[in-house]
Amino acid sequence: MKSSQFKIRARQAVGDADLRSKIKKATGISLLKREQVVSEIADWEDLRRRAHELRKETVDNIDSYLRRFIESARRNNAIVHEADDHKTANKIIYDIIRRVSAHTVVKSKSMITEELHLNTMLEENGIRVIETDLGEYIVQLAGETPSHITAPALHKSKEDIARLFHEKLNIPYSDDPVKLTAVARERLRDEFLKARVGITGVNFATADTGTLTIVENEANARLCTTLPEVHIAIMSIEKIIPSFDDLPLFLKLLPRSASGQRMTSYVTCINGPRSYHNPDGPRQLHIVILDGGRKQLAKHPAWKEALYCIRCGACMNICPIYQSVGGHAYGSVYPGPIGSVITPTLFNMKDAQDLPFASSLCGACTDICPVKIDLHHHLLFERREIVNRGYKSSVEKIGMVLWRWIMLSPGRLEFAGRVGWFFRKLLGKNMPAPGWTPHRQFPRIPLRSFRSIMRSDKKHGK
Amino acid sequence: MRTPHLFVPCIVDQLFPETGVAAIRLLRKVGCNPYYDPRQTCCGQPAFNAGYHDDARRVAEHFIEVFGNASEIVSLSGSCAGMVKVFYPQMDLPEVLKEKVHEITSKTYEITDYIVNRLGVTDFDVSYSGRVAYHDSCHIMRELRITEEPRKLLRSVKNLELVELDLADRCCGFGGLFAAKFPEISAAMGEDKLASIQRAEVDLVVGCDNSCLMHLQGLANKKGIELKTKHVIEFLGDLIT
Amino acid sequence: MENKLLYRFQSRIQESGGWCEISASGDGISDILNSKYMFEKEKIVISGRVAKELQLSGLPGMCIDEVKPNNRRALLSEAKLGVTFCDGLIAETGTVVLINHPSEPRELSLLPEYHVVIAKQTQLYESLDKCFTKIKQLYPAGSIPSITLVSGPSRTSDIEKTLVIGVHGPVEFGVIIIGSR
Repeated sequence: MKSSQFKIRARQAVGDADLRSKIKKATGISLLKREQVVSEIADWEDLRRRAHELRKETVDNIDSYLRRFIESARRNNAIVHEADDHKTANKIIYDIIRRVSAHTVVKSKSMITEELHLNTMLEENGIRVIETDLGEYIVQLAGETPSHITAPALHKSKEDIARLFHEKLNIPYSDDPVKLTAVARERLRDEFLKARVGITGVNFATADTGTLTIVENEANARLCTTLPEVHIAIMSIEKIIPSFDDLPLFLKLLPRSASGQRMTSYVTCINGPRSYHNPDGPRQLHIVILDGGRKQLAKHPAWKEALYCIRCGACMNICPIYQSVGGHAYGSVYPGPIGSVITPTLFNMKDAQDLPFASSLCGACTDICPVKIDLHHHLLFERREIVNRGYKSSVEKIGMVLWRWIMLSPGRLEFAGRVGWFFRKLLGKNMPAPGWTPHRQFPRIPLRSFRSIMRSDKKHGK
Repeated sequence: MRTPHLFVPCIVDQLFPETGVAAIRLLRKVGCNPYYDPRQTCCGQPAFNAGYHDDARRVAEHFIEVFGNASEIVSLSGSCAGMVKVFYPQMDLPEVLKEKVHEITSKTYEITDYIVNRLGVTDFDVSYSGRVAYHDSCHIMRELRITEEPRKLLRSVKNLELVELDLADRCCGFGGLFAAKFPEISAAMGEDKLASIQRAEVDLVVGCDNSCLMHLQGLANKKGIELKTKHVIEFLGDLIT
Repeated sequence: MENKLLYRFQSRIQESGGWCEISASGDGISDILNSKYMFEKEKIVISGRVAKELQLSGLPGMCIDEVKPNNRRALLSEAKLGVTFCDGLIAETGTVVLINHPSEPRELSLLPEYHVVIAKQTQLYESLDKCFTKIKQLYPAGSIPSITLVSGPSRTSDIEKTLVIGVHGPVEFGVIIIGSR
């Protein structure tokens, strides 16, 4: 799936009324819940500003915070691996699994592993990967990818899931979410108890204490980080925050923004493998830290803000475009407004050139972002970069030159307007205009423009 | 007497001249002597939002030339006022124009903001019987943070029942070039807005950007949905006799 | 002040699908547990900290300290109820803070179907900030054990945003606070 086919997929998705209503319902519920728990925080705007400053501080000094985090994590007896690119990260992870001769890994939800296409790589190498977050489990059973960063199966109805479970798990058809959840619990509990390797992502990594924090509701991440002998935590460099003292702030922002909860059911703060201080848990803790182009992006004066993201998904929920097309249309691991900012700047601008344009620049995303990323303005300025790199068609370029030529002269503007009036008169309300009239009627063009009215008023001394 | 320079954006000029005529009538009524400079064309937003900043800059320079000496600039579009106030300072303009831009930015007003906050007028002593909804266009709401001013003016209209739309802060799907680049998504968003308007059972939808209203009106006409839209200023201007 | 925190904590826990009861003294705890859960003694496993740090004995169930470390996982997988102590209660969010402890393994609050926390009213903090500051004072850098924050039963909204309680972790979560209103 590629971002370059956004237009085609978006058109298909918009035409799918069933999909649209599923997405709208799910995002609507999330927004409502968020509003309830955000409105009770009097200094919410203040918290956003503080969080923005902390993210800026970290990203501006990413090398030094990364060094500090690695030192702290090693002091906690974690084994830290640094990977410059996706391929290296995957190899490191595969080697760890192979060294302990494990054939199955249990895994909790992690966007970074989606970015790595880790499951595909491991499965190609004969390792069974079991997604244990219910949403991810559903998506994995269906052979799909997540359509939302915090609600992977948001595009599926309970009937879709009932059919899927019936076919893939050989159980009687039931569309009762309670029953479906119970099936997943029963199937996966055994896997947790048997698995020797658990893989998780990381929500926050604190530089001063080397603490890995994982936020979740189901307890599958707790199981992945408690039962197996080996825990592999995978993170990208921007997951770092300066201090353990900053954690409460981010824990105030993330669950409220993501799921409309004051706190998720579970937050696990891991300070190393089993040791004198940690009487239980995995014997080995591996932390794989991916750069994947982020150090480079951190140097860009504006787009470094993409690295401030704490992956709450609120911008997707509020985005009217996401609500209309869903996550898969974007063809990127990261959909929605933040995805449209990250995908061209971090991955491939040419392939993803449609994404920054797929925004009405309404700015709802910027207003909801808990770390105040100026999302819609980044989309706007990415457009300039796309034009400057010459990715646009010559027809469009010529069109712009023509537009400029017209707008640099009031007489030419008036003339263009009159030409429009003539054709509108000639063809009537069914006058065609590409991009406009397939869905909307062409507006009436008045006989006289404002400037022409003013001209004759002046003549008549009004 | 105040002599605000009217900024009549290209769409208003060519498609909605009545909004301009109404603006003059309203401003005169409250003791202003609005001035219209016919050299004006466009603020440059279409090219700017399309990523063609060079082309936008040239048109912006023309705008600066026309409006450079104005004491106050009053825009008949929230979106275009936002372009001048928020984005002109971020343009790659020649050094000599930077100071001028700063000056222009600080004296540019969206018209309802101008009337309510600058002139201190909130009541035109007019009357209208009916249910009216105000549509918050995104740029006036989020770039300029103007939401109360047009509502204040509407609330002052006697017998008018101001209705709040559900999902009032949701974009109508216009988005300038977006409407033509992604017509299916734009139309889907517009249909959601139309549904919200229908739920509100209003006689009229008013707003501060003719372009959003044009998009909604065009959609409604195509679908055969009855809808009346008008710029707030044109609505108020029409009530003055 | 403390009463206000207690009240807030209690309502927050209830809002996120857990329960919270106040017991005037340690003596009432057995009664609360007995009234809620009618499991055989070997299906209830109790943290060693409850006896050691809360000086509570005679609770229905067996103490985890009496079970060899190698047998704990099997036992807890079959257990119905895990009873733990805790290291702090956060009123703002209805959160229980659990610090990893030899007599209170993580599995104890994770594998059994039900998890009950016994806490003292004096352990209440207004917000997480204050509790974390305390933890940092207690443990020198590099020796903070792992910490788990629990704010309700295991839950999911992954199917059509419908809330379902009890996915991979405890299906029920309760807190008994020794104190008075």
